[in-house]
Formats: sequence, structure tokens, C-alpha cells
Amino acid sequence: MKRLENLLTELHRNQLEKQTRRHFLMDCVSKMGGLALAPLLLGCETNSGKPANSQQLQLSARDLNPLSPLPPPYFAKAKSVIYLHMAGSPSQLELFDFKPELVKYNNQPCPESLLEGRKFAFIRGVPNLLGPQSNFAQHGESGAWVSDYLPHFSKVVDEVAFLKAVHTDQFNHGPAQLFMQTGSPRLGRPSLGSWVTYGLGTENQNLPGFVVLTSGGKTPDAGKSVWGSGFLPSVYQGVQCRSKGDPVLYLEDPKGINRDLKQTLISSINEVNKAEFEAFGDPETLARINQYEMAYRMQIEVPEVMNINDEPEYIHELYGTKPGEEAFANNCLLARKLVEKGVRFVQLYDWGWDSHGTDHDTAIDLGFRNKCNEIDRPIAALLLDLKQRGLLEDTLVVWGGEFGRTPMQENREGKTQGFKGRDHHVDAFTMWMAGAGIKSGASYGQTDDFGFSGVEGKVSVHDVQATILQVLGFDHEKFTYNFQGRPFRLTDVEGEIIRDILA
Amino acid sequence: MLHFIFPLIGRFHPLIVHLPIGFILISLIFMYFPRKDKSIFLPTVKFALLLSTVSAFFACITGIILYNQEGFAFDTVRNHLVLGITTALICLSLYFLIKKKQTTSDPKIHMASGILFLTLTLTGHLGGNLTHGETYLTEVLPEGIQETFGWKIEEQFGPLSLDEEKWQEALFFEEVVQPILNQNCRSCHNEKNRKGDLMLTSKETLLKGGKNGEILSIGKPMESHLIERMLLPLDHEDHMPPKEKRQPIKSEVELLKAWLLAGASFEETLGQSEVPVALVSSFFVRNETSFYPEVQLEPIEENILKDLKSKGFFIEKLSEESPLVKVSSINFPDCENQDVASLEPIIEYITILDLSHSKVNDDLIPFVGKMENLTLLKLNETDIQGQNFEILKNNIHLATIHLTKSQVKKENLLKLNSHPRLQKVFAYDTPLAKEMTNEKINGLSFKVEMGNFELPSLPTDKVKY
Amino acid sequence: MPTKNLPAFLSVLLFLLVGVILFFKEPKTVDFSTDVKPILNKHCISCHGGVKKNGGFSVLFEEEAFAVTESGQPAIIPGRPGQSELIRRLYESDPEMRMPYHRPALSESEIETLKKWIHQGATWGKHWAYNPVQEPEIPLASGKSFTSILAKTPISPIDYFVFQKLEENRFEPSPEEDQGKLLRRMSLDITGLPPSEKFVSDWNAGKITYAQAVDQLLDLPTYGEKWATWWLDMARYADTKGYERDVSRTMWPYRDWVIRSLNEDMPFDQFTVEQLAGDLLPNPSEAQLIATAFHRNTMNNDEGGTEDEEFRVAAVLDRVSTTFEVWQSTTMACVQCHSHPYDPFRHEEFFQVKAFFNNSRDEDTHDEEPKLRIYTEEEKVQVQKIKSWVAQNSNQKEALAKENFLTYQEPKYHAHLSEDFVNGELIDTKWLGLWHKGTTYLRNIDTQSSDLMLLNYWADVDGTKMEIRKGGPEGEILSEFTINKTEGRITRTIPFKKISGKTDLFISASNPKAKPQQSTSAIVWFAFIPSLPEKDNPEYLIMEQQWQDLLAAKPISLPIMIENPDFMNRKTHVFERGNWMLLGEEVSPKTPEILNNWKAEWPKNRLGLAYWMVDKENPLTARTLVNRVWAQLFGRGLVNSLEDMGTQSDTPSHPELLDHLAWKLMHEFDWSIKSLIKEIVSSHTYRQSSKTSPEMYEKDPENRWYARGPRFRLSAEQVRDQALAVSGLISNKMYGKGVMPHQPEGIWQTVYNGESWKTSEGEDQYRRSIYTFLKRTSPYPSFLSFDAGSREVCISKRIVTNTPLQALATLNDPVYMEAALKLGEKMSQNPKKNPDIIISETYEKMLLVPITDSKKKSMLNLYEEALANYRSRPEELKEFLQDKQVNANPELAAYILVASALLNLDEFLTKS
Repeated sequence: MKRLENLLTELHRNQLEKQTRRHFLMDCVSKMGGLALAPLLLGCETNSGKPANSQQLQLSARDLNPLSPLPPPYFAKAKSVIYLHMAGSPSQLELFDFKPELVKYNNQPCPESLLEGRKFAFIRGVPNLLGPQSNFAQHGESGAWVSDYLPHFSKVVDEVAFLKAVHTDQFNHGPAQLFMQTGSPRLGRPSLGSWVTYGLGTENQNLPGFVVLTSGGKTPDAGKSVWGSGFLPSVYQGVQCRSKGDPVLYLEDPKGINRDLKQTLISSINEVNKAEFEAFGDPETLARINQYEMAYRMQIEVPEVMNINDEPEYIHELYGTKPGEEAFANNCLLARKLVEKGVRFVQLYDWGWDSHGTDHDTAIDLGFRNKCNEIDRPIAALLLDLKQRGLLEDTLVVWGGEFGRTPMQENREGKTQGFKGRDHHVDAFTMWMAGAGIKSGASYGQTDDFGFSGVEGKVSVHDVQATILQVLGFDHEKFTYNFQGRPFRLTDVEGEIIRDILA
Repeated sequence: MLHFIFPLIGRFHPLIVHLPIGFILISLIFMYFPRKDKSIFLPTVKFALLLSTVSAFFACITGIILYNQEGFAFDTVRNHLVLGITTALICLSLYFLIKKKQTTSDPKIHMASGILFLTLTLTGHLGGNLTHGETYLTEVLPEGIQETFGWKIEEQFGPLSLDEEKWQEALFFEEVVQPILNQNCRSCHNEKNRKGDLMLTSKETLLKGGKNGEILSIGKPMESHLIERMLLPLDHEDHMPPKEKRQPIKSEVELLKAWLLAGASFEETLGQSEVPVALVSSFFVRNETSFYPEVQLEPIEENILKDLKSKGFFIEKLSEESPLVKVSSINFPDCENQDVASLEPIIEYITILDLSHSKVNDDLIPFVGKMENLTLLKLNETDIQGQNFEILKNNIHLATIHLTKSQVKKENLLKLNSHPRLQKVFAYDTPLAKEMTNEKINGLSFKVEMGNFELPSLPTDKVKY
Repeated sequence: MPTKNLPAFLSVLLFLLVGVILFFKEPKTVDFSTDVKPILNKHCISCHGGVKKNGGFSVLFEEEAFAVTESGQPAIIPGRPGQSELIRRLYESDPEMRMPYHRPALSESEIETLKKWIHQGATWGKHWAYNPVQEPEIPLASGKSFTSILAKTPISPIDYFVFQKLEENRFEPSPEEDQGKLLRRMSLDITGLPPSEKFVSDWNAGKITYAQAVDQLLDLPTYGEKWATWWLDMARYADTKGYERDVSRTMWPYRDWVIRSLNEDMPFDQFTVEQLAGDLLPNPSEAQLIATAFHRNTMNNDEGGTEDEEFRVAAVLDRVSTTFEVWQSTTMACVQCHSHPYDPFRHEEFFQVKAFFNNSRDEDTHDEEPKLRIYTEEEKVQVQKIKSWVAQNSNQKEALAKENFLTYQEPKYHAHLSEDFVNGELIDTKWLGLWHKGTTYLRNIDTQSSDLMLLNYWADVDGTKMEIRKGGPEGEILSEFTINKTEGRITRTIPFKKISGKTDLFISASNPKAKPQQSTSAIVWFAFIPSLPEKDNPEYLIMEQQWQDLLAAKPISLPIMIENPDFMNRKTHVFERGNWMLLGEEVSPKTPEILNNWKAEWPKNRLGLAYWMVDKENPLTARTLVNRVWAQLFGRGLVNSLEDMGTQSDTPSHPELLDHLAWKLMHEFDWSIKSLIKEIVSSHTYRQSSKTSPEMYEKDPENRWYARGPRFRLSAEQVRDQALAVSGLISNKMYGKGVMPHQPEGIWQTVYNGESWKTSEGEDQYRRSIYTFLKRTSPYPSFLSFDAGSREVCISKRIVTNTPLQALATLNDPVYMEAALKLGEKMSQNPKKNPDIIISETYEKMLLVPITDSKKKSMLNLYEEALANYRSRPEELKEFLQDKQVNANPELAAYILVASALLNLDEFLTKS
């Protein structure tokens, strides 16, 4: 508030004496050093942009730049998040949740008791159980079970903490993805990334705070709303960076406009805008000036960070990148580069995990295994690369789908299927976290002999979200936004921090 | 129209009560003050006592009016009221006694006046409490005294915590169950405030149960109301604790269940009840001292911050409460030594310093050495070689140094050996990483991360299934 | 003093006392809704109301507030503040007893208000928003002191209300805005576009008065397009279904209906009735049926494995919430699960309202039936022929049934009703597919004793024997037929045994030729429509032929609302805790207690509900409309929370003004939106300058007291349209299916969905933004970055943000580059040849005010530098203009850059 007054009184004086007014702007401008206007705005800001009372408008850092950083309520373990979402939901039973019993019961009809009152997307009647299609072994000092579908990942298990008994209550992709990412299966709520950027802003003023990278040729089933900002201002929605075409839409200058010219263009626009601000004194104009400066800087920074060609060969080998393609491996490498540059939240979506066994591509022992191959090396590489650069110290990595897969062989609409597949399953599935604030090598929760539902250490989707917020320095119960006359939370009225996987 | 009359009279009570107090005292004084001839004041005493009685009764009447006008609950005023009336009656009887005996020196009279004095003080005190609150007198006393007398009303109950080593010796009820109850239930089920006639403050009260009868059924946790209520859906009206109050965490409920299952013993220890460690592990106190130094500093002045920010530094508090800050040159790639030097005014606040990708070099280190609270230092991709790294030993809080892709040399890193706190150094892709060999690292007082991890290719990599 | 006087003295004293007391009159009475309710809402209601009734006490409803609490006595005792627990708990010293529980105590003044209120008898009252609109007194006295400022503009009633508040807050209104700016403001607000050159010149020449200008603007067809955007946000209009597959749907006829109705200035009450219940009006017109598509904008889920019923319910709930948000500014969504914590709507009331909506035919089917078949004129004639034929030879009822079936093919039974499959499945949980020896049941079917069954299906195998039996495998055969390969989907007429009443149909298929587990056919729906009468009449065959042709026809079809026939009626139940699977008690249609009463003459269906909404006694409809129109013009509602006018909403800045306009709207304007807009834009409040001074800004950053005119960034659509307009690219073609202006590659990546973005040809690229195809899961990118929503749910307020992505769009999006190019061309072709003049002229054309020297200097400077650059770098010039230009020259390039700058100016992107 103090600063607001300073600025306003200053502005006032400026209006009285043209001379001083020029002066005020000039020395802000001079501070800019050519185009770097940010200092002007930081210089002229007040620090009172608290999300808590976000609705009330005052000339704060947030008015000039809605993404300007804010301190977390509590000491934060992590400053950035990389969230790897396997859209379609991979089978925990082929990857992490080893069920020797299930091998025995392979092809036996599923006990009725398990099916009572359960709804499945496609399974009808009494399906047969389907044993794990992969071979498991224990790895690392933690002795975590990982299957031979993930040979590279199994080398880094000691970095991660498993959640073996996550459960959700949505068994269709769209709603389940929304639930996982926004805390509600219905549309209109802000995504995790939006909440975080809204709460913390972003440190690097030349890059978006919340970046989304997709692979697998499709956006998630629930569409762009899984990184939407819901009722939060749209500036907090995820910015989709694409590996083909402009990394960010309209980033590239039209042909035949060189950087200097662009610079002249933008500075003349802003000169006029400054004049406009002097004349009408609407702070929105100041904000717009800032946004044009930022746009200009983004044009330099984003292509830089989105370009993986400059990375050394060794790194390319490590990740197994496919330059020029839209590949999960490339996105993993990009994710590292982005957090390295101070991006707050990087969300990866890899589509194509819906292994129903209706055809070769969705067969649990064929197409699914290929998908595993696509992510195995990149993920292991990502963890190692983050580790060797010390980024794992303040970056939280989360991996998971929107639900799990059934221990039963899918019998779509009662048919017996030619391929081995598993239906959507809500009662138990595996997720893992790694990095800042996480007890590496831990494993929490257990499922029954069939891996059907959790028997201990059950955690809900809201618990997972609460834990992520905790690591970022938030109390998920106090982190709210007022809308339609009531405070909304990411975790609604639930959520319990999973202390057992926190360092 | 005149509905205000009664309340009005009622509210004179606080005023009127002082009359009897005065009169009674004066009568007592006149009764016992004169050393020799006690009879000289007799008439005065009688008159004073008469006045006392009258005023006392008047006080009672106004008091009673006040009581039902302002609708105090009876039990809150009971004692005051009874005592008040008693005082008046004793006063009266004493008056007649003296009138009859025509003397003040008589054992009966002595006794009566004694009682009178007693009731008077008590009534007065209770009255005071009613108007100024129970703790009016006590709350000014030092806490210690308050506690010893159990006057403290606001009891604070921390969450349950157990010692990782000796948790098995902990008494299941005393040290586990009661603390859980204290934290989740006590606020509404205690001596002062027994919702549903239920107190959850001791073995006895627990066994006694509440207005709906017993709350424990030993060996059958799910049938115990205590547990049942907690497990009802949150928006069920019988759910306990009420929706808007703090909810017990799952593991707390689990422990309560375990206790009932194990026979709800009030003597056994966790070990004797054979509680699995999984149930209690989440309550082990991790006595980790905060990663960041504990300091008493005034928050940095706004205008200082403003100047530094306008230089291009990114400066943000570590948390909303903490005065300590993180300083970074992330938006200030041209940052050089002298720019950093301008951080002098906030030097003791700097806890995290990130100068990665900036133009700083070794000459900066002496300045960094002065940052007493520096905990995390990032110098990735700078020209830092570390010639004068020994200076950093002054940074007694310094725990981590990031030197990824810097120019740091092996011999310079050794200068940091036996640093008071330093735990980890990141030196991937540095001259150091190239020259240093693994066995050398073991000799150091801190871990060095030199990276260069590899994932050797496997036959399965290329297979298409 | 002599003792005998004492009594006299005392009595005198007493009299004096009494006199004095009588002399003091009762203090100002406390008003419940304005003084008390806010306090209760702020401090108490979250624990004592709706969901939670701690200590058995709630201040939500009157009876609850005065009821006996758990403590055994009521918490509020009228006339006895001290005795009322409510008050006493505020003073408690024990933090466990003191209220608000573990929260900061109430302020003295708040407690005083509460005490006063109880002391004065604790009379309960309604929140202002629930009291019917009264005509308030116009404070003609206000604003006397402002006359100097208001020299020119006439003062409208609105201004008096505003002035009153200005005086209270020690503000002064601003003088009238510069004429040019004012015209631009007005034109953008009314038509969403800058005024035509002709218009501007007439205006500058003083040929048209302000009032005439307003009228002319309101008469432009572009008015409808601008305001339709606003309405479509609330109607959640989009061109796709939403959810996972998000495939296209035909909705645009509804969009066009909105534009037309607004242009015709259809009274808002009629506008409401037709959209909510057009289908229930006596023999509804096609337009009226189209209007009902309002509630078919709900999302429709095609995702495999989803249960249609679940999403039908979701759609119905959305209709309830949307209806109440759009017309009543009431957030109903919460009441879905429990009584609303803040507004006095009860849990069951939500479902009583739902009962109004629960009997529409739609069932989240893949084809989104029922759909209005919009026939060609000839076809319409045929329909009428058949109708009259049936009317002559049978009866009116039959005739109507036939016409209806031709218009929207209802009633019919959908395949997803089939259950208990043996050797069969619901293909992709959508269509009935029986394998060889496959059987299934359709339960509770009422064939209306029809002699025919219409079957809609397709098949890839020949010779499948189908059998339909009554009740079960042993039941009597009702119909037998063979299904052969079809060319796509057909509707086939099959003889059916007349039966009456509800029966279970047992359907079996057998076809040895079919592969194992291969569906012999895919059946979409069954309908039972009796054959045309007079079989032996020579004309019959012609009629029958026409009937078949019409059935086979594939006209444009628009999803609409159609009510269930009685024999298909659904029951409505309360959902326990909002869960659609936990059915509570059954409820029947009813409107919420707190609002206006139900009139006996209204039918108990959507139509009645619509009448109830637009009844002059309804407290919210008119206020809501006024508030939203006001927000469109001032960027902020009189009640700031547009989505909610309930007890938790922001208190109105000018309550009387709100009621004044609401009253006028109903009683003088007869619900004419145009008149309302005219009333507002004619006020000085609207016409005043938007200039702000630091101290003014400091005192009123949000401009809620209107001491200055409105100034805010244009909407996504306006930004684009304006650029197209000033560059002369814009096409004024109206209506029709959504168009696809240029959009970067690879934006659409929806799963299980073959569709792709095909850039439109010719002028369609430059249509107004409202015609841009809107795909819910990935809307037109630059609209998204300019805060337009994805229209999945009703949006009554767009939050205006300011981001670098917006800058990037207006700088680099080809649309804006093209606009810059056209504008640059114009500039370079300007005969004057003097950049100085040309820039000034262009600037003035765009912003309708002369350019200031400093601004001109900057633009000139840009021109010079660009010119120098392109002179020295011909290769860049070639790149920049490519083949776009024959007469490529550095000047042109430089002008294009200047144009681009002008298109990016804050003042250009802003309405002020």
C-alpha cells in the first residue's frame, strides 16, 4: 500500500509539472536499459498482491504483471514441479504392483464378491482374472518391485517414493483426468498448475509460469480444461508449448521483420502507451506496457529453451530423444530445460495408455509394452539429469495416470477378446513422486492379493494433491479462492497430507 | 411502553450491592473496633445492621430481576444468588440477635458475624466473576501460578508425538489415546463445556460416557460410539468432530480402534498391546532442525527492496512469515560482481543466493563470505573457479553449493573440506568433475555430485512388440 | 430539607424521569436485510445455516432462527437482547463459548446492531434481492452542485441516482467525453464495431444528434451480433458436444435465432419464454422450436463406456443451474448437495425445480435426439399435405402426431434401453448389436397400439432373422422380419401386432452366416407410429410415398427440447448429497418459496416456469438483466458479482438505480433491451470522460461510483472484429454455419475424433468473430488468450486479464498481420504522400480523435526506421511482402509496420 501512495503522489506531481513527469518516466525508462522495462514496474510496484484478497484491485505487482512471484505461505521444499501424466492410465499390475497370487489365478473367473456393486466402463458379467504379463524383480537398495517393462527406470527406483494404493472415484477418462488435475470431475475448476502459478507466480519473467507439453499425438481426453484456469483469471492457465510449429502460438515474427525492427516496433507502441498512461492514468495501460516488453523477451527466450538441438550428444543419448518429432523423450528433456530456467510448473501429457486389449496397439503385452519403451529411458534420464544438475533438490516430479487397470481381463460388452487387455479401475493404482521433499526409496500403501483394492496406506486423489501443495509450501486447507460467494479449494473439503513419503 | 423499567431496575444491582457491603463492614467494624467498652456503639451497630439488611434485601431483589431480565443461565448465577440471599438473612438474624442480647460480645454473635463476613466476601467475589469473567482475578497472575492452581482456561494440546526409539514403552492410554482425545475432542468435552454431557478428559469420564450412554465397547471398536461417530460420513449430522472442526487424521482413528481392540487398557504400554509399528510410525518426532537458520530480523524495508529489485534482482521472502530472502539473478543475466555488492544492505537476510548464468567470478567470494545466513549458494554456469573458497567456511549455515558447469577446480574444492555445515556440492560438467576420481571424494567432509550418469542401451530398447 | 416535602420531591423527580424517557423516541429502526443479515452472513451462517446447524441453531430461515436450540431455549428472544444466547455468546470470555467460534470477535457496532434489532422485536426480513421490484423515488435534488460540469449534457434519472452517491462519497462527475471518443465508445458498445466513415462524418458535421446516433446504431444488424456474443456466453453456445470426443454438432441455427431476435428487439419476456419452453407453446413455430435449443447447448458425452443416463442427468442439472444463473443470478449448483449455506434455497427445492426440466425427451444419445428437422420449403408443403390428409381421413390428434413425428421424430425408444443381453452388446455403449442367436429385452414399452414399428438401424450382413416377442422367449410373436445389408443408416417401417399398455419386448436375432460375436446389425431406435389412414384410397399410395421420402430425408437438424408424452414421463427424486445414484423422496415441479408466488393459471411445466420467471412479481429477472446490460457498458455491474445476486453477493453500489431501471424495464419499456441500452447510454454517467487522476484512482480504483466514464479492454471478439473493420477486411455476411478463419496447424488434437480445422474460403475468413467455429476442447486460440471461455458451462462474467500472449497474438497472428497489410496499403496509396499527414489521418480514422504530437513522433520515428531498414535490406523487403504485393516498395512495408503498431496501441485495444 505504501508504495501505491508513493506512486500515486508521484504521478500526481507529474501531472502538475510536465517536467518532473517526464523525469519520473525517464528514470523508469532509463532503468529499463533499452527494453527491459520490468525494473520500472518492479520499481513502481507495491508488494501487496496476495492471492488471499486477490479480488480487490490495487496497484500491486500483480496488477502490472499477474505472474509476478509471491512467497509461499510456509518454507517450501520444492520450487518447481514436473508432472508426468500418462493419459489413458497405464496398468499398475504390469509395472509396479507385483501380485504373485494373480499369476496363480490367471484365467480363473473373478470372485463375485469383488464385483458386487462395482461398475466398470466396458467389463460386463463375470470376467476372468488376468495375471501380470511382465516379469518382476526387486531393484536398488530400496528393493522396490519393478517389471522388465521398465528396465531403465528400474535403475533409478531409489530416487522415487511409490504410492501403491491410490484410489479415485471416476472410471471414465475425461472426468477422471479432470478429477486428478483439478480436484473435481466436473468442468470449471482450476488445474493444479493454475493453482500453483496463481499462488507463487513465476521467477523467470521471460517464460510462462505453467507450461504444458503433450505427446502421443493427442491432447488428453478431457481436452485443454485439464490445464485450464477454471474460475481463476485465464492468465494462470497452462501455456501449451508445441514441438512442431511455433513453440508458443504466434511467437515467431512474421517473415522479414528482424529483431531490431521488432524492438523499434514494440518500443514505439509502448512510447505511445506511456503517453496514453500519462494522459489517462489507467494502470491497465502500465500493465499492457509490461506485457509487450515480456512478449518481446519471450520471443527470444522461449525458442532458446524450446530448442533441444544445442544439447550435447551425450544428453540426447541419455534421453533417447527424437529431434524434430513430437516425442515424450523430447518433452522430458524440455521439462528439464524449463525448470532449469525457473519455470514453475511443467505438465507433460503422454496419450495412448488406454490398454483395453481391443487391438494390437492396446494389448497389455504388445502395444502397452511399446508405450513403456517410449517412456522408460526418458523418465530414467530425466531423473538422473535433474539429479546431476542439482535440480532434483528443488523440483518435485510426479508420475501417474488418472486411474488404474483391472486385475481382470477385459471382456468388452461380454465379448471374449482376441488380445489381453485391462479395463478402467478406480479402487487401486500406483503413482510415484521423486525429488524435493520426497523420501526417496519409500513405498507407501499395499493392495490385496489381486491388486484389486488397497488394504493399507490407501490415499485418495485429494491426498495426492494436498501432498503436492504441501511440498510447495502451501496448506491445502488455507489455499482458497473466492468465487460465487464462497471460498474454493483444490482439495474441496478433503485431502490429507501423505507424511509417510515426505522427507 | 415501559417494558424497560424492569431491566433498568435490574441493572442497578451492581450499584446497590455496594451498599450492603459498606454497611455490613461498618457494622462489623463498630462491633469489634472498640477495645474496652463494646457497648458504646451498640445503637450504631444496630442501625448499621438494619440498613445492611434492608439494602441487602434490595440488592437481592434487583439481583433477581437482573438475573431473569438478562437471562443468565441459572447454574451460572446459582452460588452468587444463594449466597447473596443467605448474606441478607444472616444479616437480619444478626440484627435480631443483637437486638435481643443487647450486646455484641456473645459466642453466637461472634459466629454469626464470622459467617456473615465470609458469605459477604464470597458473594462479592462471585458477583465480580459474573460481571468481569471467571478469570478476572487470576488471569493477571503469572502463568506458573495459574497452572498450579488449574485456573488456566485455554489449554493448548499439541498433536500426538512419540519417540522413535522408545515408543513401545509409551502408555497406550496416557501417552497416546488421551493426547489424541485432547487434540480432537477435548475442546467440546471438558469440565467447563461438556457437550452431550460427555467429558473425554480422563479414564473415569471416558468410562462414564455421555447422555447417550457408554461410548466404549471394549474389543469392538466399530461398535463404540466414540469410533462410530468419527467414521460417519462428514456431512452426517451425527459425525464427530463436527464438520467445521479439525478432523482426526486416519492414523489417529486407527490407533483409537487398536486401543479398543486391544481391550482398552488404561495401564498397558503400546508394546504390551502389540501395536504394529506401521500404526504409530507417522507420529515419530523427526527432530530435524529447520534447514534454514532461525533468526530474529525485522523485514527488509520496502524502499531498499524497491531499489535492489529495480536493479534487476529477483528478491523474494522464503515464506510469508520469514524475513529471510532468496536473491537470484535469473532476470539479470548481465549481473556482475559490483551489482551483487549492492546487496550489502540486506546481506544478513540473504539465505539463498542464485547467481547462475551471471557474469560473476571468484572476486565475489569474499563478499559472499559475509552472508552470515547463507544456506544455499548457486553458481551454475559461471566463471567461478573457487580460488578463495576457504572464505566460505565463514558461512556456517552454508549447506549446499551448486557449481554445475562452472569452472571450479579440484584443488579449490578441497579448500572447502571440513566446512562446518556444508553437505553437498554439485559439480557436474566442471574441470573438477573431469580431474577428480571417486576415491578422492570419500575423503571429503561433504558429498560431491559429479553426474555424468549413463543409461547403457539394452537389447530391448529397439524391440517393437 | 423538611421531611414532609420528601414524597412530593420524589414524585416530581419520578414524573420528570418518566417524562424524559417518554420524550426520547424509539431509535432508528434496524433493517433486517440491509443491517442485520449481512452481519449474520459474515460471521454466523457458515456454521449456523444450511449445511451446518451447530448447537441446533441456524440463521438461514426465520423459523429456524427462532426455534428452540439444543440448549433447550431459543437463541433469539425478541425484545430481550441480554436474554438472547445469540448476544450473550458474543461476550463470552471462554474461547470455547465465545462466538464466532475461534474467529475474531464481532465489532462493537455490529453487536450493537444485533442487540438493537432484537430489542426492537427481531423482525425477520428478506434479502433485498428477494423483494419484488418497487419503483424508487428519483432523488431530483442531488447533483445541484455539479451544474457547472454538466453544462452541455442533459441529465437523465440515472444520473440523479449516481450523483447522490457521488455527493455522499465527495466525488464530482467528469465532464462529457471528447465527441470522437464518445462516438467510438458508443459504437463499440452497441454494435461491437467502430462507426462507418459516413456515420463519423455526419456526426462530426453535427447532422445527427446524440439521440439519433444511438437509434441508428441500435438499428444496425451488427447490434444483434455484438449482443448475441454476450448472450451466447450464458447460453454456453458452442459448435461441438464437449467431453472426450467433442465432435461437431449443428447448433448455429440457434445462434442465428438469437441474433435475429435481438435485432428485432424481441421483448425479453418473450425471448425468455421461447428459449425455455418454445416447444410447449400452442402449435409452436419453427423459430420457437429453434429457440429451445438454448437448453440443448448442454454437453453431450460420446465417450465409450459412459452411461447415457448419468450424462442425461448431468445435462438436466446443468439446465437447472444455468436457468437460475442466467435469469435469477442465483448459484444453484451448491444446493444440489445440501441446503444453500447462504441463499435461502432448500436442498429439495433444487430438485423441485429440476422436476420442471426432467421430462424432456433427450437422453444423451449419440445423435442428440430429439432434433428439429429444418425442411426445405417444398418439404414443408409435403408435411402439411400429409397433415391435412390425415386430418380429413382420421382426426386432428392423429394429424398432429404425424406432423410432429416428421418435424422431430418423437416419441421413440432408444437402443440404450435394451438390457439382459445374451450373445449381444450395446456397441460402444450406444447401439443395439445382437450376434447370432442373440437376444435382449426392451422393458416397459408402450406401442400406443400401433400397427407399425419404425426401426432405425444399419447392417453389414444379409439375412438376419429378427423376432420380437411379447414379454419373453415364449411370448406371442409381435413382429418378424429379416435384416439385410444397408447403405448406411435407414429408417424402416415394419408391420407390428397391435397391443395396448406397457409391455416388455423380447428381441432375438439369428444369422448363422454372421461371424462369432459379430453384430448382425446396429439398431439405433424404435418408434411406434400407426400407418396412414384410408389404405384403399387411391391417394394413399402417394401420401405413403411422401411420408417415406420425408422419413428418409436428411435435412439440417438441430437438437431441441421436446417434452415427454405422458406414457414416457420420468419421476423426479431428490439426490442424497447430490449423488444421482442415491435417490431420495420423490418431488414434483415447484418454484422456490422465497421468490414470487405461483399463479394458478400457469401450467406446471417449463412453460409455467418461464411465465413465473418473467412475471413482474419475480424479484430477480429484471434486476439481473439490468445488472448484466449495465456491466456490458461499464465493465462492472451495479452488483459486481454478476453470477450471484444472493445474500453472499457484493452489496449493490446503487440499489435504487438498479430497481429504478428494473422497474422501467418491466413497466415502461415492456422488456425492450434496446430501450434499456438507450436509456443507459443517454445518461451523463455514461457519456462522461474516462480520464482518471491518481487521487481519483486511489479513492475508487474500480470506478464503482462512476465519477469517470468506463474504460476497459475490448472483448476477444471485438479486438478481432475491430482490426478487420478498420483495415476494411471485414465481411458483413450474416448467419450460417460456423466458419474457420486461419488457425495454426495442430491445434485440434481431440481423441477418437476424425475432424480437423479446414480454413474457410474467401470472405468467410473475415466474418465477424461470433461466426467463428467454437470447439469446446480447443477454442480459437487468440480468443482464448483474450479471455473468451470455452463455453462448456454458463459464463456470466469474463475476467479481463492482460498477458504477453495477447501481445503476441495482435503482433504476429496472421489475421492481424493481414489487417496491418491492408491498412498499410491504404496508407501507402494515400495521395497526400506525406507520412506525417497520412499517419495522423489513419490514427484519427481508427480512434476518432486527433493524434498528439508525441504519439505522432513515435509513429513517424517507427516509419523512418522501418523505411531505412527496408531500403537498406531489399531481401527482407521481399520476405516481408512476399508475393502478397505487386508494387512492393519500402514505403509500403514501413506503413504496414506502422499500421501493425496502431493496431496494437493500448487505446485501440481499449474502449474508453
